[in-house]
Amino acid sequence: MKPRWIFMMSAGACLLLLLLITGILKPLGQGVRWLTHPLIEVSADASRNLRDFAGRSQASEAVLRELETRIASQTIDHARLRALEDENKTLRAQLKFLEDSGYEGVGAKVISRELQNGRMHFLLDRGTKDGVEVGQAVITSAGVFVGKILNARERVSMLEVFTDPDARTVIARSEGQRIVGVMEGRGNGAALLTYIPPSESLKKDDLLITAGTEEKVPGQLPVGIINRVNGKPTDPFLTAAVEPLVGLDRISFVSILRPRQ
Amino acid sequence: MRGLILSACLGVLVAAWEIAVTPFLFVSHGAGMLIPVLVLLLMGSRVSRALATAAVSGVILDCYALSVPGFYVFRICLFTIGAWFIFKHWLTNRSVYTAVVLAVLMTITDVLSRQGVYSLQGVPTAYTWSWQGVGMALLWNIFLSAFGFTLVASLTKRFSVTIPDPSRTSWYG
Repeated sequence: MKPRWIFMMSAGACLLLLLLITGILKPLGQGVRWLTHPLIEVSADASRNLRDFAGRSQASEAVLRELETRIASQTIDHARLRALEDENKTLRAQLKFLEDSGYEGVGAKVISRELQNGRMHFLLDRGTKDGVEVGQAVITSAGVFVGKILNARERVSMLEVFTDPDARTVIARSEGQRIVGVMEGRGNGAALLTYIPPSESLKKDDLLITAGTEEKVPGQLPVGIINRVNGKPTDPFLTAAVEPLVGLDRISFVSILRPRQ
Repeated sequence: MRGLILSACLGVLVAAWEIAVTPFLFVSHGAGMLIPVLVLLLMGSRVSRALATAAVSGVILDCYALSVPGFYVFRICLFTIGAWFIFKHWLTNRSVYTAVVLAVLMTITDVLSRQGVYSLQGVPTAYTWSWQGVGMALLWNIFLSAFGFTLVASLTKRFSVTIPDPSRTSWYG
């Protein structure tokens, strides 16, 4: 390659870098996303269908074995049954809640995802032109809270699930609806409820819901169940491992809660 | 011109694979098509076509990287030019070993440049660096580049040694 071409390409690269950093190329990005959106959606649908057709993943096999073990068990856990009853009540109220709360759900499809080093980010096919804003709550079709919008462009947005290491969610108990702590993501599908007052009598299989104290996150959205409570009664705060109600790595369709327009 | 347009279309398909196929079908995010495709283009076609594919796929990847800007177009074009330079001046024969070496060099450059970009933006290394991921990306790109080279070489004469035409001076064709 002739030195003149090398110089011109280097200059072009520096100019491009400058334009990228300053954000001048944003309209170009919007245009590219508009053009490639259908191809990305079709590719994502085909990949998901192929994955489902090819069979269950190893993680799902482990979950299936664990569920089969639970079903085979002779004794019914009374607390788990109560938690399921509370969840049922909450989910039934969810339908009425969305009508009365001033929020409406915008359906969104997962078109890409980033699962690396414990982080879970999902790219959704809804953006600012659909009224999506940063910080809005995202739920599954069953009404279970899965995370918040981290970033939004015109046609796409990024979902950060609540188990992501940077995610923080204020949590309450389904019974009494008192704030019991802050849920911090621990990566790899795990979360930890922190700052639990020792006076709170949390136990295994207690259902946790969103507290509603965050601006764009309504309350009473089911999040997960307590797996294990850590700490002694003399500790200033307790912690508890939280088990999500849904398999976060397999979500495909979600609803973004936005204020009713 | 037709070659450049086809290369641009190939760049779109490769970017769609990276964004919407690899994350769902493969455990490691390093199992992409970009580097093997660029290796085969560098070895079997003009550098301009490889750059066209690299630039188009880089633009699309940048448009869909919402969490942390990755400057894909800049990085991908840079390591494509670097790989072409090494191929042109040091790895002058067209063989499966050349394909493997190019795949290794481009993968390492991609990983290191991405890590550098993330580090400059303050993203913790624990979130972005994984030895397992690097290993998987290397193995995948080596395998696919070698397999692709073998397939193309057995089905076509694309990688046959030809006598260069002294009347052709332009590199962009």
